[in-house]
Order: sequence, then C-alpha cells, then structure tokens
Amino acid sequence: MNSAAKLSPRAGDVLVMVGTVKGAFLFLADRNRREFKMSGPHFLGQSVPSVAFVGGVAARILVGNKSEHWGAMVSWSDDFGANWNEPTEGNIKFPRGGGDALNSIWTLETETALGPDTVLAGVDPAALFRSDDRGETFRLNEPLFNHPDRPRWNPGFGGLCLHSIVVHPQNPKRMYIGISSAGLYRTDDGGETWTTCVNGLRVHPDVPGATLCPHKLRIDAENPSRMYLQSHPGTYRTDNEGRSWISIEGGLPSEFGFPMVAHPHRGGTIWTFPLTADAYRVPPNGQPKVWRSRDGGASWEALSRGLPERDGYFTVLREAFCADTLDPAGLYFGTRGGQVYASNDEGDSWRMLAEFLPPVLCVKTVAME
Amino acid sequence: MNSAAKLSPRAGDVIVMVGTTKGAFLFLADRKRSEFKMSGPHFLGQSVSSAAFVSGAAARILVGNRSEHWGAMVSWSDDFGANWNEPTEGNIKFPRGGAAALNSIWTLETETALGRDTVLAGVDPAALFRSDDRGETFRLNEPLFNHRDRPRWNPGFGGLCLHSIVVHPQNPKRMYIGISSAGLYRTDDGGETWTIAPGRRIRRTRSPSFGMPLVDRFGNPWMINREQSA
Repeated sequence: MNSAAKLSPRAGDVLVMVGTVKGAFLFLADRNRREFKMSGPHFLGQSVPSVAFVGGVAARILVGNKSEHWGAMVSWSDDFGANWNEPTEGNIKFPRGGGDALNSIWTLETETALGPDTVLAGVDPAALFRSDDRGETFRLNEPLFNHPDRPRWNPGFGGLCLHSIVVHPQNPKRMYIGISSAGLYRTDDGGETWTTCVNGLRVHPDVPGATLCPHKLRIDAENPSRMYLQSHPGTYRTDNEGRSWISIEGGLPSEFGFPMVAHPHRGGTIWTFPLTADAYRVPPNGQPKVWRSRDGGASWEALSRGLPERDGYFTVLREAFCADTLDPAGLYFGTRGGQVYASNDEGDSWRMLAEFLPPVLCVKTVAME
Repeated sequence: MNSAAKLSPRAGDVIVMVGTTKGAFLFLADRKRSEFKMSGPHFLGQSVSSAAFVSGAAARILVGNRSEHWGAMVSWSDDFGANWNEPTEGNIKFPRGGAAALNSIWTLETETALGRDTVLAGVDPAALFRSDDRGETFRLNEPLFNHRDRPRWNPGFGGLCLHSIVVHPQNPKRMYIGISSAGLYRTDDGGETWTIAPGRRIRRTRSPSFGMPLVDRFGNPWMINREQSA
C-alpha cells in the first residue's frame, strides 16, 4: 500500500508532512524543493488533522490521528514513517467523570521557546495539552479548561476547536491561543491565568450575542509584539501583543479565509488564501490565488503562477498552509480537493506536489539540520 | 461567477450534469465526447446531491439542491442552466405534525416506464416521492413511509438514505428501492405494498457495534467495518 520506500533525509533536505481525512503522507526533497518523493499513506483510513516535527537529538514525526476504534491520539515515528508508535490507550485525555471526551487533535506545536522536548496540543473540545517528553504523554492545562468564559464558548461548524497556539519567542511564559468560535486568549505566567485579547475584532455576524471566530493566528518573525490573524469575519494585525487589533483586509478580494502564514525570518511578510464569504467558501471567481503582503498587511499582491487560472473551487483549511525555514522561504498548501501545491520562491510560482490525495486537513514542513 | 456561456445542445450532443457539495456544473460535448464545455457553478455554495434530465416536449434539467436557508428542494431549468426555478417553499415535504423533516434529496429518477412526466425522488430520511408534472410538485409514497420495518432501519454514516430506485422497464408497477443501511424493497402493485427483497442474508460480525449492514447501489448487501467506511 505504501507508494515509496523508506525516507532517509539528509541535512538540508525538506520534509513536508500532510494529514488528510484518510491518512498521512510524507514528502521529501532536497533544498531546491523541485522533486519530491512521497511516502504513504500512513494511518490509512484514519483522519489526521495535525502533524508536527520534533528536532533535537533524534528526529521525530508526530501525528494527531483519529482511529474510529481507539479515538484520537498523538502517534509518533522516530524513523521517518517506517514504524509508528500508537498509544491506543490514549495520551490526551480529559479528567474522568467530567463529561468531556476528545474529538480531534487540531494542532501540534513544537520547536517553540519552551524547548525541543515540549509539544503543545490544541484539541476539540477546546483545550490545551502539554507534553514535555516529545509528544508521548500530555497533561491538561486546567486554568484554561476551567476558564469562567467557557460556558459562553460556542462550537463553530468544525466543532469547538483550539486550533492556534503561539509561544512568545523570547519569553515562553507568554502564550496566545485561538479557539473557534470563542476567541483569543493570552497568558503571561506560563498558562496559570488566561485573559481574552480581542479588542478591535468584529463579532461573528451570524451569531447574535456574539462569539468571536478566529481561524488562524501567527506571530511576526522579527517583532514578537506583532501578530496576524485570519478570522471568520476579517483579516487583522496586532502591534501590541494582542491588546488591540487593526483590520488589514484592505486590498484583499475577501475578508474570509482559513489559513494565515508568517514568513519564518522576514518581518512583515505574510500570506493568506481568501475565499468568497460566507455561504460559498470557494476562491473568488473560481480563481485560486495566494495573497502576499510584504508590509504587515498594508498592501497585498496576488500570486497565482502555476495555480489553476479558472474553474478552481478548492478550499484551503486552517492548518493546511505553511512555510519552511529556508531562504527563499518555501510554501506548501493542501486543498479539500486533495491537491498539494508547493512554492520554492515565497509564492511567486507554484507547482503541484500531489494531485489525488484525500481531502487535506493539515500541512507542515521542516528543513533538516 | 459563471465560467461559460449558455449551453445550447444540439441533437446528438451529450450533457453531463455534476452535483457537488458547493454547487452544480454542466458539461456539454458532441457525440464524440472528446471536448467538453463547462457551465457553472450553478447554486454556488449549495450542496447538490442529485441531478436528472426530463425530456419530452421540452428539455428540463432537475437538481436536488439544498439551501442552508430554505432547505432541500427540487429546482429546474428549461434552458440548460441559464435560468432556474427554485421552489423555496419546498416541493418535497413530509406530513405536517410528524417528526420527519427533509434532509437531502439523494436521487432523482426520470425517463422510466412510468412516462416522461414522472419523476421519482429518493430522500433522507428514507422515503420515496413521486411527481407527475416533471418535477414541480411531489407526493409521498405512504405505504413505504409507514412500512412496519421502518423502526428497524438504521441510518448509515451518510444518513438514512433512499438512494436507489429501479422501475421495471416493461411493467412499471414493479419497482425496487434501496435504502442505506436498511435493505432492498420491492413492490409489484405500483407502490401500494412493499416487501423486503429476498437476498443473501447479511452476515453478522462478532462485534456488531463495529459492523454495519448496508446495501450498495447495485443491490448487494454488505457488512462493512466501521474503520473502513467512506
């Protein structure tokens, strides 16, 4: 069933990890990022809404897979997918007797200022879990789980998902999380207390009473006071660590979209993938385009070389668009139509890396050291 | 938003109607079927779970579309998609006061031995509807809806769908329907009585909580494993 042999990355190679509704696929290329070799499917038939890479002494691939039989778990491979450890008894669990049960693991954050062994997991129902043993065991962040706002949080169409986790690069006691459709929260004490940080964001237009619906939060590469947010209604930037948000959607064809990507090294450079709001959720005019800003969202340019010129109606989900750390930065996104596109020139041009995968839920990449 | 001009089929042309989760697309080619022209999306943002063609005096395209606002309905175009009639008040409805509400229209059968103006619709929750005015108004087949087996019918992952309708080509009083995941039924009296179609007994698995009987579009009973389901 596996379409390629074991992957054996060398220093400088780029690994792209793709999770779909029916399994995970791995792609490997050298630093030119022109020819990719595929390995997969892994976890065939299982939904894989999150993937991540843990560096350090030994490379480890993490996936948040969901077995219909065992439920959702974080599995890992220390040999690039040749063998997988599946903790079928579950390594992300809610307190017994509380009535909450894990639905999905929507994001896995690694390589943060918390150290190479720490993994943060954002899940549905909305909660943050932390691992300090490279993703093998996790514990619940109870202050967020018991937050007084929780009764007001409303699930979006995709559930009540904690999908965005940002750790301050110099001060890891400061973290930010995003929950659909509940809002953004910040901690300054390593997760002991969480305060909302949504000043300036519009409320969800369809829900009276009204909840906020962030879709993806990213931090600027050079200025950690600055972050970018693709929200359900609007595209935003903060320059003061989330204390207030300003709209940066002027120049974009739509305020709606799911992903947001920040450049790995260059401040002010971001990418998004706008969709026609709200009931449609397809690329405007059937013309899929990535939009890039080099000035923190003050102006935008459309990037479409290599993407379908017409009749393109695919969607790119929240977790399915990412950048690598090389120079120039490589970009990767997956679609609900099963395509994966890659750019090795910061989005100026695109090529198709895979065409017929199951619907793609997440894409992450790492450059091997 | 439309990517192509109005379609104007000529005799011998082939039309392909495609429904998606976010709209319908029409493709037209000559009889060689090597070059297709596309029209669409129609019903952008709406799920279109069925499509059909009604010929006769005038050509008509039917779609079973579902608006998040109005719910599911059978809409039609008499000019190959240039204009659509959308019965937003609904033309497939369950009896008032009952618990059943229409989820989706999963199949539309036309061009059967029942005549050119007749359209049969299979829907979720499992029921058969019939139109004799080319898809504009429908009425429920009550004997199937009130079938004594109904309490035993289990929804599949895709719902409790009546997805297959076969009309005998010479004797239209004989019809067969398939429901996921409930079984196959047959009538010999034009829909007054329905009997479960004899067939292979569906195998019971050792762990029934992980197995699910269903009938595919070809009438084959299957027991599938939950982990392998679509």
